[in-house]
Amino acid sequence: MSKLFYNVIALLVIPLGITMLQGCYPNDGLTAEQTDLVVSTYNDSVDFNTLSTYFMADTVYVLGDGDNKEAVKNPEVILDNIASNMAAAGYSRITEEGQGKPDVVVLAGAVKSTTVNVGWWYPWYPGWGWGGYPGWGWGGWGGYYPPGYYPPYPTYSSYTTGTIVWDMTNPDDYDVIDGDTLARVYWTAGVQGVLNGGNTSTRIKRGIDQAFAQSPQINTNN
Amino acid sequence: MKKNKFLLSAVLVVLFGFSSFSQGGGVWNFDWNIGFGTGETADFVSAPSFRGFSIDGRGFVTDNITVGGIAGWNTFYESDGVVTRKFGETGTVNGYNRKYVNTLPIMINSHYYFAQTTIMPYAGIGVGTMYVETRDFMGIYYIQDKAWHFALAPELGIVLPLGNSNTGINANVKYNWAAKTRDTPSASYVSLNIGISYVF
Repeated sequence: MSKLFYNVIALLVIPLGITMLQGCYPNDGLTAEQTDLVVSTYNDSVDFNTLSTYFMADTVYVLGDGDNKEAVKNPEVILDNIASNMAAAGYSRITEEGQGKPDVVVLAGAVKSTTVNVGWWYPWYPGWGWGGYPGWGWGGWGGYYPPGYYPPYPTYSSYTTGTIVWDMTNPDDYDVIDGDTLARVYWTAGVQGVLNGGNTSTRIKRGIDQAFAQSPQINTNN
Repeated sequence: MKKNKFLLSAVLVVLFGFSSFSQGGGVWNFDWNIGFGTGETADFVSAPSFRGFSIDGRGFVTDNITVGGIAGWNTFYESDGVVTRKFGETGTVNGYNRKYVNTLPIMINSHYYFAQTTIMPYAGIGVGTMYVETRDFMGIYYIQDKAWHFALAPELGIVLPLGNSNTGINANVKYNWAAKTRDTPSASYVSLNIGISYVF
């Protein structure tokens, strides 16, 4: 065979190999920052220009149920960043009763949750080849499995996400639905990302800043 | 799904059928595919795809005409980086975006070979189905579209035999078009395919 032939084969096989290795979804390895999502939605029947004061508790509520609850490690990062952005949006924070009744209340909460993926990886396609070689290790499984079939290996992967959500509500603007009093939410926003234990504070700040930046409707001086 | 099974079975039957009476021999092509999205595919992912290959078998039914089949695969990928998008009436989402299009054409085809000498130029067309799966990611979440489409693929190419061997270099350009379905848009791309031709 000519040298050209082998060159052409190499030209074909190398990209093909790369293709096979990367599969249908290449570039799947994200940094923790690249998993960050910022979501917000506002109530378009509210005239935010009429609002000027707000109250925010000094607590970040732990969301989630039962045993999954775990105290938020850095609540001040969350609260301080919300407060500075609220000030920039034109709101004054009320901290004492003497300062009067706030127009809106901001409540922040956080939840940590772990997602586990379980999959099965087959060592070889059932019925392909190996069955013809008794005594090749796999043969020992014969008592339990029909020839040509081998048990798959389980695979696990998991990731833990941190989510911070905060709502702006007006306790005096509510609906009574089926006997429950529900305050109308004026604005709600959230930040979520995969936790990697590193620069979480920077990511929280970036997320909260982005949530306000993408919600110009809530500014009091529109 | 029933329709797809029927189509796939038809492709196989035709392939085997023609290979048995193609007394005049035939051609196997193993090609690396480089894809350039057009139309709605380009609107979604504008970057070219270097991840693709196809296997194409053709049997001569006359001196110049082949009938056969092809199966291939192409992956298109592009990231817009961090993007901000609207959803619903008043919602906004911000995150790192990645977009994927995977195409899997399975077609029967027919080609006309203008000459079978030192070079073998040919023209042809494929008809069949193309499975198209698109994913639009924001962070770790995605929206997926997937469907089997009716598909056509006209093609112009050339085989350059290597010396006196029955092996040659195959190069062709093909327009791959998948009709829109009820739920998913049309998909299309031009592919440059280069590989090995085995003439028997």
